[in-house]
Amino acid sequence: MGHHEHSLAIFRGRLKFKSIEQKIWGVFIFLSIITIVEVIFGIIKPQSLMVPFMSSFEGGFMATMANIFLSPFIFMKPLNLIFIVLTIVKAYYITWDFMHMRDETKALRRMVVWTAIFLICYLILILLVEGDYIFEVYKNNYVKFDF
Amino acid sequence: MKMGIQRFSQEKASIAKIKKDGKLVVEGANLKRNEYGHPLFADFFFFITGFHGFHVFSGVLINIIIFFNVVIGTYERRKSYEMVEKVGLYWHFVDLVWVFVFTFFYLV
Amino acid sequence: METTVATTASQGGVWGGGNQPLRASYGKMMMWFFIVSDALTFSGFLAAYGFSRFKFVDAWPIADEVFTHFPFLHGVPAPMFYVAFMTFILIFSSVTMVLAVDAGHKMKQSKVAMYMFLTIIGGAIFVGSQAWEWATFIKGEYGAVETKGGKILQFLDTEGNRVAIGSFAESMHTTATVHEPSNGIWFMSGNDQTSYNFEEVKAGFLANDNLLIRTQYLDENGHPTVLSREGFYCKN
Repeated sequence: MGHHEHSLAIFRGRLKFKSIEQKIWGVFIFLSIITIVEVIFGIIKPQSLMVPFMSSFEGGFMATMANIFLSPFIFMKPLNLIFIVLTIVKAYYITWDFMHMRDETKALRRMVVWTAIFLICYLILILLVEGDYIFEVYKNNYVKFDF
Repeated sequence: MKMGIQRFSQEKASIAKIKKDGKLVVEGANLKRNEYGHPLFADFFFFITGFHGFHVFSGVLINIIIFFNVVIGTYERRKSYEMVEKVGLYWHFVDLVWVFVFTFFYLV
Repeated sequence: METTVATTASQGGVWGGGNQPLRASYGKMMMWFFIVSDALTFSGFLAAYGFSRFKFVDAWPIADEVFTHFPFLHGVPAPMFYVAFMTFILIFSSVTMVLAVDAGHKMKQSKVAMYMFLTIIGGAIFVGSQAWEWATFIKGEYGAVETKGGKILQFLDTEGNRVAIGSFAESMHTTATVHEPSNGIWFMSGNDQTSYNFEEVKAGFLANDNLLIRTQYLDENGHPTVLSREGFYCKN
């Protein structure tokens, strides 16, 4: 399709490339660095990143709200949080630069991205909450499962 | 009865576990059981990486078709390489899925 | 207007369907919609995986201890290296693909062909690696014992290294045969034939004082629980 202009800048215009080939190689190097960082963290698994940053708040409505809003920092290992953030960064650059989403119209971009993001977040939220509930049921009931 | 329980709890943990609960030997993995742990681990591994592998395999086949179309000049005559672009979208999507599978199966 | 495949459509004017408010051709937009639907399918699978993992969060295998193999490096634990290699192959084939698309925009036929060829090679290497990984996973390395409750028990030496069942099982010559449809009841099946049966592994375990059992349940530090040989086992 389009012979309209390709955007040659990444990182919100901070890094500009001379040609489209150079931009592709630049993005490739960036994705490789992220993957290498992920693999190194995955092998070393630093002990300091294996316990959550904060402990959950106790008591009252505000504490519950704080627990919900800060749940990634309260209930997740920082290491896993880092992996997920890096994965989303990688997904962004694959979609925006390799699939040329950067050059599409805003309407097409939102049609594809917002729909997918909304449905996926919703699906993940309900399934993980449900899985955690069943885990609690297994753990706290009177039937023994380890035999 | 009482004696039985008493005798049992005197035994060492490892030995008691294998004597009381052990049933059969597992080697490797299949959809029913695997030596790594919970059966669902292997089930999801086979299912999700298999589904992704199937996507890659189809992508390779489609790429081969497009490759030959390029070589025989179909898109030169059409004066547009949009087919390459569409297949490219699919191929990048397969890569995108792998990024997530990699994170959730191997890293997290 | 842009050069598209569907040149007839662009001649139709605004009311004839020739208008492209999203500046994307029909085929490309449909590819995007397919990708969204396929992304949702994969998300469904991954969310189901997350669901099951949260359900058994205290007894899920640690991937680092499962995928430790690399071709031609027998016995050398190389966690993650092989998957990292596969990831690089796939990212690289993405790069060659996007270079092919770019060469297509510039109407350079031979360049498109070359980059498409490299993409195909990358994809083939990836599928081959996947097959090798499956084969290694299916074959297994150490073997384990399954309990009556369907839980897995693995064997360790006192230093905490995994021990293969073949290295300590005492072979007893038993007359047990495998239950197959040809020699038994056709609609029932026996368990898979393993190189040692449970009695042999049990005898070998009892005879070796330096072996320990590891359950699939994780302790509070996230490591699988190791049962001792000295301590007492409290049945509750």
